[in-house]
Amino acid sequence: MDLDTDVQMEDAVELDTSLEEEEVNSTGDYSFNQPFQTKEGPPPELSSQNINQLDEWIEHLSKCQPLSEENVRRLCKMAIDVLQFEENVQPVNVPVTICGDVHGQFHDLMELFKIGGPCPDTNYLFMGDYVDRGYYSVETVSYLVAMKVRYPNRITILRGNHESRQITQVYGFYDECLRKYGSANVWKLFTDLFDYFPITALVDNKIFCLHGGLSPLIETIDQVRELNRIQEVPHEGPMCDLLWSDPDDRGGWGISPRGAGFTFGQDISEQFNHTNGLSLIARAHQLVMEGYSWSHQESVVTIFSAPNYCYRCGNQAAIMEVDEQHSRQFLQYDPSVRPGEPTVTRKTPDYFL
Amino acid sequence: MSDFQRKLFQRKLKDAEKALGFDFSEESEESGEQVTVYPKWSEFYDLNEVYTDDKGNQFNTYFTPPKNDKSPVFIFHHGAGSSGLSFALLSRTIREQMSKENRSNDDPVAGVFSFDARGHGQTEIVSNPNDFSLKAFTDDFIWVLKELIKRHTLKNSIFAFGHSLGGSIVTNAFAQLEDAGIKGVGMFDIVEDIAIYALDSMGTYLKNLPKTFNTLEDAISWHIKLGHVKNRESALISIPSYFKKNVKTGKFEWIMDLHKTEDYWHDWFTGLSKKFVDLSTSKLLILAGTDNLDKELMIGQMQGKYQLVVFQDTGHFLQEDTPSKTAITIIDFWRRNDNRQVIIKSTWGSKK
Repeated sequence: MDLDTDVQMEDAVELDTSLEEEEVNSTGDYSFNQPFQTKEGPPPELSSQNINQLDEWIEHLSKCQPLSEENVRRLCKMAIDVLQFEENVQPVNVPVTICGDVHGQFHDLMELFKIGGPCPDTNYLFMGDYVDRGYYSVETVSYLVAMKVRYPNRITILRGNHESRQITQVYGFYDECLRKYGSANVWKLFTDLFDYFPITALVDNKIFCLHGGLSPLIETIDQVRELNRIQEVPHEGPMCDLLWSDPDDRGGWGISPRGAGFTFGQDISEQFNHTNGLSLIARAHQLVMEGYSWSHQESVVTIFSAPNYCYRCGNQAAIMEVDEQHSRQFLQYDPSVRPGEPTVTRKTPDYFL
Repeated sequence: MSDFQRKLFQRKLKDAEKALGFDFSEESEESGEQVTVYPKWSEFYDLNEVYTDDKGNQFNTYFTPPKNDKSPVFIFHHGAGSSGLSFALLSRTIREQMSKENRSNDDPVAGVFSFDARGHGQTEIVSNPNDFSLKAFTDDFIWVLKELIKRHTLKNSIFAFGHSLGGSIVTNAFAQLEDAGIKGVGMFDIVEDIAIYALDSMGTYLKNLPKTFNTLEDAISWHIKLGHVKNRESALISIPSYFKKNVKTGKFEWIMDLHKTEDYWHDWFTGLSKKFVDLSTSKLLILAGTDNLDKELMIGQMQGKYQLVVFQDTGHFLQEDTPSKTAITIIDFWRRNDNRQVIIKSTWGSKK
């Protein structure tokens, strides 16, 4: 099949090229055209100076105040040092609390940590989509990345389909960076960092966690390990599918109505779990009104952690706790109550015809 | 229709055009030094047929047949105040793009079809001409589409796209057209609650609308100046079709008086988003500017129920402003969703 999907990315690709060239020349930064292998072995230890610095940033960010551009630059550099050592299938131990989309809803993220227990006392696994649509993408992703660098073994942050250069230019993160920093530099720093995020996690060899879903080109977890993930999210192929696919009531593989990835039926999920010795696929990516939703006779669970998504959808959010005995508990929550709830301003055209 | 009949028709139409003040060559000479050459419909479509129903309503249509049976047919419905020629440049661009991509002679090139809805362009409605309800538009659309399929004995996959109000019409029609072979539905720049919100300011908008223009060039400049259409190449073929020349005053008047539609505005859009999300076919929504979704569309999008594409550098008439991008999006949408074309390749079971 000749799949050239996601025309929404057209603009973005063009714009991206110019930014990319400019930035590579000035900073010599990594360019996503060059393959980059993940490093093996333990990441470097944090110095006490770095710990103090990080604690200061986390304190600052927890008040929903963005870091300076210079500090974002330093944070992203430290984060690359951590994330480049992580695997495509990052191993995670129980107990852990698994979370879905956040989408820049910073105050609801704080609510999440209240409901689930503070990090690092509680281990967390986030399954992507930290940015876009909500109004605090910068603060949200800065906070989660700072926590990741500060407590690398306590929190895992996977990549979602919105952690991409093209998508963020359409759905808000790019514009938010321009608004809050006056330039696209911070957007560039973060989107370059996103390339290093692991794409899946494996909880105690039993729960396979990822943002989207399965791929007709990925039958085993070992095949995920073989991918070169350090790149922009492609428009098609296995890495794209892992970040875009959805479970479906129809069996087998289907064309995704989204325009990227595939739909997969219960037969596919059961076979995948069987082949890989799994008990469950946990994923996010789809809004579910109760915050979580089982499909395929409990072989797949969808978790969505942005309550009242985009300040208008009226949905609950949820997170899933998995304890040492692998029993699961869902915690649901509603939007946080906060002063100065953002008013949803929307462009009104002078025509409707 | 035989060639003879077609020629007769086209001659009649030409006379009709003259009577309506559509003889653009004369107009150009009058306007002085800068002679604008207005393109003709025939530079965009092969056929300009009039479909007459049993009540005597005459629908003005534009069609270029598909190259072969595996080519899709794309049907376009314009919005209120516009005309079938709003899709002229897009239609031609789609065929050019597909021809460019083709490697062999029997590769597909889409058929493209658009027409003037009731009250618009050169369509003449004799029964209930002032009924501008969604139902009336939808019934017309269904009749025209069936007539197209019958006349040209089409067996091809059909994809229907509507701009603005046209989006609401094709969405509304789909449920009744499942047997017509429609494989996908697309809406261009229409979001229910934004449209309904904008109704409040429509009165002012219409009040400020110039009632006449001295020349077609004035009308085109006005549209471009206000950003209604940004692409002059498209404006040259679309805008003139919105006007008729008043033989007494020599001025150009709007063919469609939008004031007459006021009573129907709410009817056009209420419930649209839910209806669209729930359609049991492949769906595409292209928006201009930002992803200004309402609650229903937002939930549907976040549940993966349709494909959303946002063009950032375009105005409301996205098919006119960015014909190439729109063409590529439509061709991709067809490729993914025409089940005659799609085979999903899986490597599962190929290695141990």
